[in-house]
Amino acid sequence: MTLLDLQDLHVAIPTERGLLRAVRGVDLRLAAGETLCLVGESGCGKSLTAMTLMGLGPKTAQTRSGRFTLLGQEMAGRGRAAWKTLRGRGLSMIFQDPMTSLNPTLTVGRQLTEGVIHTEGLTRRAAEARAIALLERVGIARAGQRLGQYPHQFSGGQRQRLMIAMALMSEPKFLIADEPTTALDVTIQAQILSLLAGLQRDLGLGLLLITHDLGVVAAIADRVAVMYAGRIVEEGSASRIFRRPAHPYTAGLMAAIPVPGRTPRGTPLPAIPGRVPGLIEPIAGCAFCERCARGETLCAARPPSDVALPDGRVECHFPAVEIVQ
Amino acid sequence: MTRANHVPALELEHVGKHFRVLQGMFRRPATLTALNDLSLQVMPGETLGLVGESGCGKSTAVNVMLGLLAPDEGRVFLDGREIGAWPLAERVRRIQPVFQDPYSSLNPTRRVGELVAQPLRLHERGTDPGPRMREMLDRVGFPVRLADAYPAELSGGQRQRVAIARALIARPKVLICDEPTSALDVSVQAQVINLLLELRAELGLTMVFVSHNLAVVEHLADRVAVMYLGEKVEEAPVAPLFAAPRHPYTRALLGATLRPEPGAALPESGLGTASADPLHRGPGCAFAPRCPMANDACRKAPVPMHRHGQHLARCLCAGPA
Repeated sequence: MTLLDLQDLHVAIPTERGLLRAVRGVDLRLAAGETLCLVGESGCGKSLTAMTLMGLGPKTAQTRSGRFTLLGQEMAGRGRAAWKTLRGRGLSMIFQDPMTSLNPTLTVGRQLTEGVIHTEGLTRRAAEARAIALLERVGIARAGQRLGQYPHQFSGGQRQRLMIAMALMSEPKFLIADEPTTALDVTIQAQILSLLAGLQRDLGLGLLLITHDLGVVAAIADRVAVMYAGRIVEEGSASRIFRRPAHPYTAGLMAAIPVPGRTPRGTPLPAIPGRVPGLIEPIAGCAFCERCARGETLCAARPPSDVALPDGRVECHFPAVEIVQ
Repeated sequence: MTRANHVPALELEHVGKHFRVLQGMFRRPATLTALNDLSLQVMPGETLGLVGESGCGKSTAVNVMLGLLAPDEGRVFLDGREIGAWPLAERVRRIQPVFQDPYSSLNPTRRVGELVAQPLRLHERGTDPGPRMREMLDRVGFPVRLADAYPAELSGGQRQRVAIARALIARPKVLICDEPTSALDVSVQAQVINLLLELRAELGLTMVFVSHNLAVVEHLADRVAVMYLGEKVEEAPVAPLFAAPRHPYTRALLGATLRPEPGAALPESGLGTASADPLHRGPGCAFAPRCPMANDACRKAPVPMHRHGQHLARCLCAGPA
């Protein structure tokens, strides 16, 4: 079942200096039981894309798209109210920082149950039973007693587990996780990712995971979409993208991380020169062209068209050839 | 080798630091041990990596090294002389920090040029700092024409270049880098790491490189100290530390690190879900509550450092990897 079929999403945000074209034509598809990682650096538009999928983009944002089917419903051109029925009924999200998404003044039990009591008309008792089962599922011991506690009485890793439990309360089919482990220590991060992967497999969720961490991607993704300056520049299977990236930006990202055994200690890393372009001025050609080793006159002049790959697509005038053929 | 080469550029000798923490209105304040019996030596020209997770005392250690916090126990030496004994101007000429977040460590109301030249004002009054400032900006790859910009107008990478230029303008011997690339994107992180590598070679810098990113530490450091709840639990030259860690915590930390390689399975850390709690530590090994190897002896009494070949490890069960 296709959970998401999004074509040509544009999101622009009015700023003092002009219209910021933050998302410039994004296509995304996600099937049930699949984990798609949306990868990119800060400002590339990945979080804004996620928030738009949740119907939680900024109020001032100007959004337009082609087909936008979410959980079988056409959402293109529909207002924020249309999302209210989807959130809590099939669509759910885990945010990066639990401390800003949990209310410090309400008990954990209240926060977990409030939504389903409202949307599904469950009794408090039934809702609490579901909450306890989920808390145990995400590895919080003595769940029954802990419902009466407040978020500050939980550790950082436990709060992230709370967030996951809260996102699962409505029994979603499509779960969006925005940097769910970025604020956590590595020993905790591995546990949370195992938990997410296990839940995803057992419940057959479609998982869209947004991250900048390629280690997280390697551990969990089926498919990867690489975003740069508001566009998805490459998409494909995780195994292929790590072995043979087709887009020079993808290749550059992979090379820039020190990997023990690959980059000799103390030697310069192959950094990507320059910085991301501003998105207020329209971009005539390829947005990566100024930083790209393969960049030519053509790249600056004309936007690259889609090149189909066996497992996805790449948007480049000069993609790594052996993959295309 | 001259005698000067045997004097550590920076040395911490059995340093302890404790904080009193209020726990609500009616409960007695608790004591949080941020650093416990921490000894470190950094020889001239060497880079020491300091790794650990949040709450392990990395940042307290940095503040003690910089002389910004006075230790409750033990002593800190800079170039063989106790750090408090150096006059301020002399101290800042010898040791300088680069912090994680250039957004908060640069005064937003000052222009780049002023920020970079600031350390010179302490001991070089009267001379025009302009030429040195521009030379330094150029050296760190920051466009000199932006010297009049404010920090808010710069990207994260540019700000970190400004912070590095400011740290190096007084030509310090020791550079303390506290998570200098953690707030940066991958592509910019590589640029800043390369810059630090170049500057280190060119200026012969002694460095302490604090990070939770093990791959970055492995790339930059000569020797690595691993911290857990305020204690150094293991120390070794970089190659043996990563190849054959001795302490169970070091093993867990390396094992939990995700490698950006295809087909990399999710690691099993083997640790419980309990988190490190600095307020409730037993008399024994601080890691014992999470340690898969811990026995009664570990929990009873403090565990001293033992030497195992090139490794120092604070563990009763530390064997070969």
